[in-house]
Amino acid sequence: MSDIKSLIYVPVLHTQKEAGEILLSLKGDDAARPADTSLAEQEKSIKEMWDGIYKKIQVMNISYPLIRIYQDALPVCGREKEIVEKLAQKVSRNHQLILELLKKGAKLEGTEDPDLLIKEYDNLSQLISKASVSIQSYKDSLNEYKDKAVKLMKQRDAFIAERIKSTLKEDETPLVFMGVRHELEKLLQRSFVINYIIYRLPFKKVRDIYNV
Amino acid sequence: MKDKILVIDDEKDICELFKKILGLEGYTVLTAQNGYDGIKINEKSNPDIIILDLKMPKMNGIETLRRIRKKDADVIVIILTGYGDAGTIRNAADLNVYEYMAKPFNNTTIIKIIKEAVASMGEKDE
Repeated sequence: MSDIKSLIYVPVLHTQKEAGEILLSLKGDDAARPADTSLAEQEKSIKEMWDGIYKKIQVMNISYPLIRIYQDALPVCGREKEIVEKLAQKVSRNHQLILELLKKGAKLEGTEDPDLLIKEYDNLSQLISKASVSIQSYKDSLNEYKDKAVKLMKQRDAFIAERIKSTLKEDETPLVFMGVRHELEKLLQRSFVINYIIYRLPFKKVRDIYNV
Repeated sequence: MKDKILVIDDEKDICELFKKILGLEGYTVLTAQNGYDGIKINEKSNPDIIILDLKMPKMNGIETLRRIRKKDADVIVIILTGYGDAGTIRNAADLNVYEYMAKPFNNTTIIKIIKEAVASMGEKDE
């Protein structure tokens, strides 16, 4: 009988800043509407979310050297740690927490297909360029963007699932930080027992196109 | 009179705790221990905020919220649950929840979230 490994899954929300400040320019549609609160308030809520997650990880009594971290939007590129360090310097609590886990001995793994991430960026850039033409043009493009994003997300999730399965070493446990809109768990639940870490998800405070 | 809050949770102790802590803050607290009663109380009493558990017998929290949303698109809903997976979180997000919070919870944090939610209602009214 084969042992089913456990996987720690942390569904997260991104701030607009983390998702790219360009999102701030999106207006005219409910799904893309800037959050009800200021950026400072968003960041405060998201910081609380990460602090809560970190506390929950700390009480799990896990062996950090046996943890391999997989992070939403972190490309497989050979410069993964450098990217995390840069984002941590830009006050991303998400990436600061990863650095803290790395200091304790956890490993970091490139997670996403860079080509698919570039496609996502291109799709978003196209959408934003429409926003400057007219609200109607933007709304039409938003639906098109959403369709593309859903299809692309499926491809991204398939890549991530395979990446986890192919890079995980024996005795290691994957720790996966993934935006709430990913459906990665559907591809992993047959291979892993998934344990969730959830503290709080302040949806209304950080409403944006990536999260809702 | 401060705002009206409906707590839908099958754990009687949780309902009582909210009555106590939110009552001290001056809120009117209504409680229901299952989804059916929660839907009825929501329609009859029109609360400002609903605190909703997910894992309940007879009707789970997502189905309860789905039915509430058919008639009430705007009421602020805070999910408070000891149970959660990625699919449930997406379902809750699709049903326009204000916040998704895990049990066990800190009283100070939940009161802060409720106050923020109340304040956001004020901003919409202005």
